[in-house]
Order: sequence, then structure tokens, then C-alpha cells
Amino acid sequence: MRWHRRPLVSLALGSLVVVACSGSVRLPGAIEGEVPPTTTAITPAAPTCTAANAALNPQRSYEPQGPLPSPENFPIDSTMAKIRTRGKLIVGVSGDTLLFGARNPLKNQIEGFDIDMLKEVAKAIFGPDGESNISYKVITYADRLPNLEAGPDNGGVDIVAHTMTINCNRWLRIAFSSTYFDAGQRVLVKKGSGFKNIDELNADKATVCAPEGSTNIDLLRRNEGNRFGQLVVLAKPDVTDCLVAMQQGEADGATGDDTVLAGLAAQDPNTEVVGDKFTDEPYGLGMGKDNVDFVRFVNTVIADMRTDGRWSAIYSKWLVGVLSDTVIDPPPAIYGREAP
Amino acid sequence: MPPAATTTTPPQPPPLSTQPPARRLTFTSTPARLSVLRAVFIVLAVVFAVVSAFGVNQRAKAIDHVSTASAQLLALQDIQVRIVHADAIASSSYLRSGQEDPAQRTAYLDEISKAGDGLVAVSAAAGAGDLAQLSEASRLLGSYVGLVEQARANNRQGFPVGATYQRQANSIISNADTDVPDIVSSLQTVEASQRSQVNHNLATAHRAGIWLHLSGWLLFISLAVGSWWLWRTFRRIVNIPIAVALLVLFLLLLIGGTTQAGAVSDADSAVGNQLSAADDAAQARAAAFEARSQEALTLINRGNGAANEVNWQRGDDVVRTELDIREPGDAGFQTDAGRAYNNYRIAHAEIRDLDNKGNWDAAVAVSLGEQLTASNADAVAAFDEFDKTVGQLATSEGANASARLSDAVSPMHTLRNLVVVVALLIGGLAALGCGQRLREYR
Repeated sequence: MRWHRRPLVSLALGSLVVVACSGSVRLPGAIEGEVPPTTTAITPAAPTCTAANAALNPQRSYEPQGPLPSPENFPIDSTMAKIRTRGKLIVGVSGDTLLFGARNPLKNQIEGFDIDMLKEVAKAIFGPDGESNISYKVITYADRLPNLEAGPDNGGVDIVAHTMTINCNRWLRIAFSSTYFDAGQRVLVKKGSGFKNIDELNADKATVCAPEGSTNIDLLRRNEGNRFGQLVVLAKPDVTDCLVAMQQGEADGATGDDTVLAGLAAQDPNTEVVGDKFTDEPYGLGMGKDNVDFVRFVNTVIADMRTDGRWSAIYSKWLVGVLSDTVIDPPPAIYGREAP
Repeated sequence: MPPAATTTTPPQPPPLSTQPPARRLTFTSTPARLSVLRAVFIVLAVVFAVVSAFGVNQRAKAIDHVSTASAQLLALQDIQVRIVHADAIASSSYLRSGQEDPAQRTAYLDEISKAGDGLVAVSAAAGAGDLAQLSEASRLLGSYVGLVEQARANNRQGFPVGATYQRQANSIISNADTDVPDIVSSLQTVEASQRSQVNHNLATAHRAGIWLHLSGWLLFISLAVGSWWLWRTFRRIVNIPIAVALLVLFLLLLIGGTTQAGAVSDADSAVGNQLSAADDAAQARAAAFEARSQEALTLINRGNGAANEVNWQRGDDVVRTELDIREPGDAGFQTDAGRAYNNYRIAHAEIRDLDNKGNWDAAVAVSLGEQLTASNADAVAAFDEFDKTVGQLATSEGANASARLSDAVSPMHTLRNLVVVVALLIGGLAALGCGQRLREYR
């Protein structure tokens, strides 16, 4: 910002009338260069499943081919070799999903079930100290697929572990590992609110929050069988925004996976998770659609974790006492998907 | 009965007057013209006294209003800087997790407290239009403090929901959504109003100068024409009282014009130089603190701070414009403030590079000053140096502007009183000059 200045006529005689009419220094009426014009990105319509695709089990992934290769023996052009050469496994995670992927402010580290799954993948690529080769990128729900579609060379990521449900529509854009966790959608309400399940919230025309880009909000919007037709749906960027919306009285409840809601309830003792699961949400690690070799590799890692106790150890570390009293069995792997 | 005697009264001659016959006082006679001229001189002198005093007073008041609006502007900018500084501290403290620096906490509370007090003070002197914006800013400041405390409490317990509260708090300070109110926008609206007040009053000060000159030169011309008429009518070379009146009036207009021009010139200069520099420095400082907050939020959002980086660039753009360091070779690079800010920019670029390459821990360490950049620069020290330099600049230039505006007003009060006294003196002299000629007829 610059203030404009005009020469001042100051001689007394010469100023007879001129002084009175001369220009003055001017302050600008507004600050310049403050607010750039806003732009609206045009988002292409997401592809949708055909009836034939939808009939197949979306949990089918690419079958591992043989035992896990040692880090030194990756095929030269493989995705794993490229990651190893780069020296970083770039991962997309949640930064605020307590228990699954959240920044621990006391340690300044991201931790949780999803993070430990990724650490095992990194170890398989880089060796026992591989977790130090992870480059974390905290992303929102809506950013998960775009980051995988962009890929690590274009600002995206190699792999996403972000409580992401495997479904047919997402398979059209990315690839999934075999299911590594079985979650289900429930609802979080304020203690003493009297709501016992999503149907009571619907009957009361309550406001329910869900993260934009999640299967949870998709379900509410699809409103199959008019089960959620009375609900006022409040979309927020992330799941913790929903907890804040409840705390600030903007929402009566929040819907989400039981895994996620357990993390929210742990942060606010005045809330509780109620009702039965009303959906199945099988979680998979997301990868680039064309990186079939990487998907097979990750499936091998998960398969080994199922059998050698590492999966159970991670479950015990994060979820025993929260989602169940004891360690449960890992979900079985389902394969059979044909490579494109 | 004898007839009644009749008496007759002889006609009386008209009484003889001992006085000479009275002359008819018409406008065509010289004495009548002299009387009218004397009356005109007196009336014009009184008009000059009233009108010029009014004009000088108007100019003094206008400059005084410039001073008041400038003081309000500087006070508002001080409040804005304190609030964005507090937010920068809060954001950085959040990044430090449980290792909150007590000194930083104290600084945060101090800035919030002073900003709150400042809002009360500027509200007391604000007009109705600005009061609504200031009330909104006060309300938002209360909400902001609440959200920061929520963020802090959650953060100290290790709850990630704290980051959401911190983001919300930051958006109350400033956001790009014109539909969502924020403190900085409210304050900037009032600041714009005060700038407009400065401009308006400065223009009024310029215009007010005409009254002294119009009425003064009208009187001068009247005296000169009257003097010429007296010379032609009475064949006297000089009417001394009127000549003295003309000389005194000329000197008054010379001194008054110079004083008035000097006052408005000082006001122009104070606004165009000192106040402008203080305004630029304050805007640069506020924008830099906003950018610093966004840097911390970018790191809090770990690898997903693209939106915050856009906001950082928004603040950076304002700072570079105000400091004139947009392009290599710009003059601002030769100033202490320009150099210090450029050092911070280089450190920020390295912080983003580290974060973008996945070296988040190092990025945080560099941002918090716990680690030097690759070029051995300390990001915190560089920013603090910039803040110190620009802060001192804003304070000293603001004080200079206030002092100069105050100095500009003082002589105007003396001039106003002088004009009234001298105008009456001129009226008296002119009347005396006419009276001398008039007495010759008696």
C-alpha cells in the first residue's frame, strides 16, 4: 500500500485560493493485495459401479504371489523397488482419529492401529528399521482417493491407511489390500440425550454429523429405504470436527465407524457410542489402481501378520478394552480379483 | 356700550436662526459617501474577523480530527498486531505439545489482555458505524480465547480434537470466507473507516484555508479602492491610518497564509510520511504474525497444510508489498526490516521443503528455533529480528505522526486570536482615516 502525495503550494500570496483547493495526502480506503480471488475447482463426477461389478464381493483383492521377497530382491521395475530407491514410503493417514491414526501431542508423533499396519509394510520394504523411512501425510477423508490417484510423483501418496472402507465404487479409482479390519457404522450421542440408536435420532429429526467423503455420509445421503429421511445431515471435513460440532451444540449426534467413534468417546466422557452396527465397513489399505504388484506385496505382509501374531499384538495394543475385552481374530483374506 | 376693541396680531417674521442652514445628507454628497465608506470598512473588518477566525478554527479542528483519526488508526493497528501475535504464540505453543513455554504463555495472556483493553478504549472514542464492528471484534475475541483454551486443554491431555479447536480459533482471527466474520476483518473495516476520516479531515483542512484569504483580500481591496477614492477626492497623497491598515492587513495575510499553509503542510507531511510509514509497518507486522500462525498450522496439519500454506502466502504477499521487497533489487531489501523478513522467508521455504519431503520432525524443530536451517539460519531469531525492527518503526513513526499533527494545530489557535484582534484594529484604523476627512466638513 502506498499513500499518494501531491506537491503542496505553501507561499502565502500564491496560496490566495490555491491553498484552499490544493490536493491533500490520501490514505487508501482499503488495504490492497489482501484477499486473492477465490476459485472453485470443478470436481469430475466419480465413477460408479455397474450392476455386474456390484454383485461381486468388493473385498476380493489380488492374491499374493509366493512368499514375501526380501528388500534386496524386489524386481527392478516393481513399485516396491521404486519406493526403496526413493528412500521414503509416502503414506496418507488420519491425524485425528484417536486409536487408528492420531497425532499424540505429548510425543509429537502420529500413532494408532493404522500407523502400526503401515510400519509393518515399511519394514517389509526397507528392513527392520523401515519405520523411520515413512513419510507421513495427514489427509482428510475426502483427500484419500485423490492422493492415491495423484501418486507420489505428483504430490500424492503410495499408500493410505485411514479407516477406509473397501467398496465397489472405490475399486474403480484405487486398489485395496485384503481386509485388515472389520468395522461397522454406529452412532455417537451425548450421554443422557435418550437416543439409543440412529433410528431414534431419525424419528426425532435430529442433526447428525458425518465427515465429507466418508461412506458414512454417503449412506445417510443415499437414504435407502427412507431410513434416514428425517435426519438433518451435517457434513464436516473430518471426524473430530463432528465431535466439536456436538460439543458446541451444532449436532445431536455423529455417525461413523465404531472404531472411529470409540476414539471420539475417549476424548469426551460426556458422549457415548450407542446402537448396533447398522453397516459393515471392511477396512483395506488403499494403493494406486495400477500398482497391482504393490497390492500383492502388501497382501503378503498382512497375511504374514495374521498368522505370526503381529496383527493380534497391534489389536491388543490399541483396541482391547475399547472395542472388545480380548483380542479378536483378524478378518480372513478374500482374494480372486483379476489384474486389469 | 362701546364696541369691543379688536386687536390684531401683526404677522411674525420667521425667526432668525443663529445656526447655519443644515446641509442635506445625501449619498451624492462627499461627507455622506465618507460616512458610508467608514461604515463599509467597519463592517468588512468585522466580517473579516468573524469569517477568517471561523476558517482558521475550521482548519485547526480539521487537523485536530486528522490527529484523532490517526490515533484511532494506530490504536486499532496495535490491537490487531497484539491479537495476531497472540494467535501466533498459541499456534506455536500447540506445536510444542506438552512442552509449553511459560514465558510464551505469559506473553499470550498479556497480548490478549492488552488487546481487550485496547478495544474498550477505541470503542469509547468510536462513532456509531464503527462501534458495531468493534463490538463484533470484542465478541469474537471472547470466542477465540475460549477456543484456544479448549485446544490447549485437549492438547495437554493428548486428544487430537484439540487441533480442531485450534483451527477453529485461528479461523476466528482471520479467514478468507467473506460470509464468516473474523476479528481481523472487523478491525480492518474500522481501520479503513479511520483512514477515510483522515482523508476527509485533511481535505476539510485544505478547504478551510479559503475563508481567511477571501475575506482578507476582499477587505484589502476595499481599503485600497477606498484609499484611491480618498486620494482623488481630497488630493491628499496618503491617508495614514488607512495606509497603516493596508500594511497591517497585508502582513496579517502574509503571516496567516504562511502559518495556515505551514500547518496543513505539516499535517500532509505527518500523514504522508510518518503515519503512512507507521501504517505500512503495522500492516506488515500484522500480516507477518498471521503468516507465522499459518506456518504453525501447516505443521500441525502435518503434510496436509496446503490451505494453510496458501494463507501463509497471502500474509507474505502483504508483508512484501508493505516492505517493498517484491522483486530482487527493490528498495526494501536495503532496510533492516526488509533484510530480516527476507531471512525469515528463506527459513520458511526450508521448513516447507522439509515438511513436503516428509521430514516433519526437522521442519517443526526449525520452525520452533530448536534447529538451524541448512544455511545456519535461526527461523525464530530471524522472525523476532523482523518483528523488533518493524515494531520499533511502527511505534516511532506513529509517535512522530501524532507529535507533528499536534504541533500543526497549536499555531492555529494563536493565529485565530491574532486575526480577530488585528481585524478589529484594521477596522478602527480605517474608521479613523475616514473620520479625519469627515471632520474637514464640520
